[in-house]
Amino acid sequence: MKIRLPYMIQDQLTADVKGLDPIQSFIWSSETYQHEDFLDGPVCSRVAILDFDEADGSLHAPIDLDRAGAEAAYVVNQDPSDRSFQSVSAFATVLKTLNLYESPDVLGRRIRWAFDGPQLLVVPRAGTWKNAYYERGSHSLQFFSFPGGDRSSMIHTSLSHDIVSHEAGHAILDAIAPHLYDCMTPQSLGLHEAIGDLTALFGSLESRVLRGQLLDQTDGDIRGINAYTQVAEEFGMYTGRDGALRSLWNDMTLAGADDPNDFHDLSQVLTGAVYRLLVDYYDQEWLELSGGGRPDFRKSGQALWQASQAMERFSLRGLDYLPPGEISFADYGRAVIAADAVSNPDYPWFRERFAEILAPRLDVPASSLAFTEPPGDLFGGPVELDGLRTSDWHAYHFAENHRRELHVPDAVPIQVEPRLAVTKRAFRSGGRADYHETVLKVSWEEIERGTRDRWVRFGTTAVFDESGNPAALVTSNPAVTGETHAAERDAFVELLLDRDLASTTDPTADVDATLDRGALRIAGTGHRLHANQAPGAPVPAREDR
Amino acid sequence: MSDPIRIRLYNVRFGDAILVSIPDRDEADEPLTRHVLIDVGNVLAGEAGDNDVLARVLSDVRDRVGERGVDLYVMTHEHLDHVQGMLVAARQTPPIEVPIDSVWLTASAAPDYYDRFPDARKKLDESLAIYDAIERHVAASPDEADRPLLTLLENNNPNRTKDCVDHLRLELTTEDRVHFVHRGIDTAPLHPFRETTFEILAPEEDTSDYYGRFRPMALGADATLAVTASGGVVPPSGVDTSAFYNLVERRATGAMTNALAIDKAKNNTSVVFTIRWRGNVLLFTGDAEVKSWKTMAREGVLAPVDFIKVSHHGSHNGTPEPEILDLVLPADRPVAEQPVAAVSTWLDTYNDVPHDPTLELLEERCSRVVSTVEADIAREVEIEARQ
Repeated sequence: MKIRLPYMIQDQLTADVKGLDPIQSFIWSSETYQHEDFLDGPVCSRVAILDFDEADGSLHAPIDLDRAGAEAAYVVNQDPSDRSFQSVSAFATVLKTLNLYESPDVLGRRIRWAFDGPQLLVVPRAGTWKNAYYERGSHSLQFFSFPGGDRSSMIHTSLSHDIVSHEAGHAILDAIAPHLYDCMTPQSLGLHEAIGDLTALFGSLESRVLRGQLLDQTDGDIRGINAYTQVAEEFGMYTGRDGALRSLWNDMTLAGADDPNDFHDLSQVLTGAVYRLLVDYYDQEWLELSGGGRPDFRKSGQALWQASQAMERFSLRGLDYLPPGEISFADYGRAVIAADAVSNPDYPWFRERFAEILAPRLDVPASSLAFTEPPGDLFGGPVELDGLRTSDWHAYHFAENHRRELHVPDAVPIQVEPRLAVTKRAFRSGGRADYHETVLKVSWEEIERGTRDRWVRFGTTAVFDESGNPAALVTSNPAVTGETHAAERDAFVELLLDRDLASTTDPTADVDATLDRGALRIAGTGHRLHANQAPGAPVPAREDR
Repeated sequence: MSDPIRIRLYNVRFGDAILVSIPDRDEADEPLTRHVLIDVGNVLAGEAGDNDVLARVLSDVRDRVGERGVDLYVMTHEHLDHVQGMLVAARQTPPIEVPIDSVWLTASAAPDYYDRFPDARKKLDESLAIYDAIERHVAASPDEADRPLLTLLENNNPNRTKDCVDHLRLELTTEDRVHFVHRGIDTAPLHPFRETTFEILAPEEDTSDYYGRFRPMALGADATLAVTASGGVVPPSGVDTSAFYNLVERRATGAMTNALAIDKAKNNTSVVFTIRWRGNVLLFTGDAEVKSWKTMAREGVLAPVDFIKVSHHGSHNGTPEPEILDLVLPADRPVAEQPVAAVSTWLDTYNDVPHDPTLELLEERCSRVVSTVEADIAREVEIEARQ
C-alpha cells in the first residue's frame, strides 16, 4: 500500500519571503516502512488526528481516505488555510518524523510511546494560544493558533513544520528516554529541546526541494544563518522576537549561557555543535565530490544529502545508548560517540571531530568524550542474550551480579528497563552492513545533598553485540565520569520552588514535588517543555499523576 | 485607658469589607477616631452574591463613620469581590454616600501602568485571551459549567471590574488624593493619620512575575464534551477509546485550571500592608497567595503581628507554609501574647474555601480566629493599645 500525504515543509510566512513552495508530499509505502493501517481521520495504528473545533469543542468529521488510485490519499484541498489540510499536514509530519527515527540506519526499531497506549493523539487546532506542546499524560501533541500581526488571520502552529516535528521529537525522545521527563538537570531538559530542534532540522533536510532551494540561495555555502539554522522563524516573528526561536548557527558554550536554568537557550550549545559538524562534513564531501579543487556547485546537492543523512544517523542513533536518569550534554556526547564507534569502527572522523567541537563548548577535555571499548571479558565471557532480552528476572539477576562492571553503587535498589533488541544498518567502507544489538539499561537513585536534599537518578547502558560480547558501556555515574551537576540541579530546583512551579503543598503545581524519606522527589519537569520559551511562560495543564 | 482600635469585618457573603476605626488625633492634636475602609465587594455568581447585602453594609459604614467619613479607602486588588461595593452604593436609590478623604489602589490599577511595564502588558493580554476563550466555552454550554468556574469568571470579569475600579479611582475623592501604592513607597504623605503609620509590604510595583503560572488554553468549549447519556463526542473509528476520553476530560478540566491561574495572578497583586498603632501591628493581606508571601519573606518585610486578616478567605493557598508563617505568627508565642486572626469568608462558594486545615493551623498560633460566617452583619475585633 502507498499513501500520499501532503504536508508543509516550511512556515507559510517564511516560505513566502523566500519564494518557496511550502507544500510537499510524504509518500508512505508498506515496502519502505513498518506496517500501518490507515483509516479515515487521518488515523493509523500509532498516530491519530483529533480535530476538535476550537470554538464549540465539537469534533470535526474524519477526513475520508480515498483508496481508489495507485496511491491512497486523504480527500483535502492543497490549501494551508483549509483545516482538513492542516490535519493531514500535521499527521504526515508526525508520521514522517516517526519513520525517520525508526529507519534501520537510525534506531532500527519500532518506537513504543512513553505512555501506556498505542497512539499519539494530535490536536491540530487546540485553541487560542501562542504555544504547542507534547503532554505525556494525555498521550497528545497539542497545537494552538493565534492572531497574526494584522490580527485578520490566524497563525496555526500545526502548519509549522519546525514546530510539529519539534514536538513530535519530544514525544519520540520521551519514548526513548522516559526518565528525562522527570529530570532536574537543566541540561537534561536542554537535551529534549535540542533533539526537538535537530528533529526539525533533519526533517527539513529530507526535502529535496528545500535542500535545492537553500543551496541556490546560499551558493552552496551553508555556514552562517540560513533557512535551516533558524528554528520556527514565523512563530518567533509573531511572538515578539526579532526572528527565530533559536539558531543552530552559534558558538554558544555552557559557561557563556546567560541563564543556566534556561534550558531552551542552553539547548543551542548542543545543536550548535551538531550543526557545526554537519557543515564540516558537508564542506569536506562537497570538496571531495568536486574532485578536490574548487567546489563545484553542481555537486553541492549530493554533498548536502550525504552529509544530512550521515548526521541524522550520527546524532540520533546514539539516543538508545543514553544512560537512564539525569543526562548532561557530555553524557549525550559519549552516547553518540559510542554508538558511532560500534556502527562504524573503521571511520572515526565523525566522533573525533564531534568531540573536538563539543568539548570546548562544555568545558571538558575531548578525551572525556572518547569511546573506550569495553574488555571482551568484562562480564566473564559472552552474555546469554535470549534470557537477558526476554526475562526480567534474568536481567535483574545479571545486573545484581555485575554491579561493579555496570558502575552501579553497592546497596542501592536498581531498576532495569525493558531490553532493546535492535537491528541496525551501517554504511561502512566495505558497504552496507546490518548488525544486531541488545541494549540493557540499569538505573538507581541516590540522595544528593544541596540546599534541599533530593533524590537523583543515574544509570548505565550496556550494549551487547549479537554474540553477547560487550560492545559499549555508557554511564552517568558521577564517580566514573568525574562530572557532577549538583550545583545546576540545586539552582534549578530552587527556581522551580521559588516560582511555585513545583510545590510540596500545592497539588496543582506544574511539577510534582514530594518529600520522601527526608529528601525532595521531583517529577514532571517535562511539563516545562513547550514552544513558547518566554520566562514564566504558560505551561501545559498539569497531568494527573 | 484609651479606646481600642476596632476592626469590623462585615459579612458580605463571599467577599471582603473591613472597617478599621482607629483612635488618632486631628490637626489640633485633639483626640479623634479615624477610619480605614478596606475592600468593599462580593461576588455575585451563585448564592453568595447579593447586592442588598452590600447596600446594608455600606449603610452601616456610613452610620459609623458619620459626616467626617472615611479617612482612607484601600483597594487591595482588582477582583469583583473586593471592588464592587462602592459602585453598588452609588447606584442605590438614593445613593449611599460615604465621604472619603484618600484612596489607595494597587499599583497595577494605575491608568498608565501597562505602558510603563510592557512585560506585564504582554502577560495581561495573554490572560485576557485565555479569559475570553473560557468565557466563550462557558457561553457555549452554560449547563455544563459548575458554580466555582462561574464564580471565578464573574470575579475576574475584566469589564465589570474595570467599571468598579474606575469608580474608585475617579469618583471617591479628588485626583490628588488617589494613590497607587506598592512596596517601598513612602506612605506618610498619602494619608491624613497623625499617630498611625502604614507600611506597604506587597506587591512590588512590577507585578508581571505573578502572571507566570498561566496554563494553556487547551479548550474551546471542550468542557461540553464530557460524554452524556444523550451522546457527546465519540472517538473516530480506530482511535484508542480510553485515551480519547482521557484527553477530552483533561481539556475540560483545563477551563477551571486556567481560570484559577488568572485568579491567582490578580490575587498576588494584592496590597498587603501593616497598620502600626500604639505598640500594635495589624496585618491586612487582601487575597495574597503563596507566591506573594514568598516574595515578602525574601524581601525581609515580614515580622510578628498582633492581628492578621487571613488572606484569600481562608483558602489553602492564601496562608503560607509554616516556615514563612512563623515570621508573622510565631508558633512558640505565649498564649497571652498570641495575635487575633480574622477571616472573611462564606461557605460553599468554592470547594475547600475556607480550608479547614488552614484554619486549624491558625488556631494553633492565634488566641482566636474570628470568622464572618453566620455573622448577622459583622464581626468585630478590638485591640487595646500597648503603649
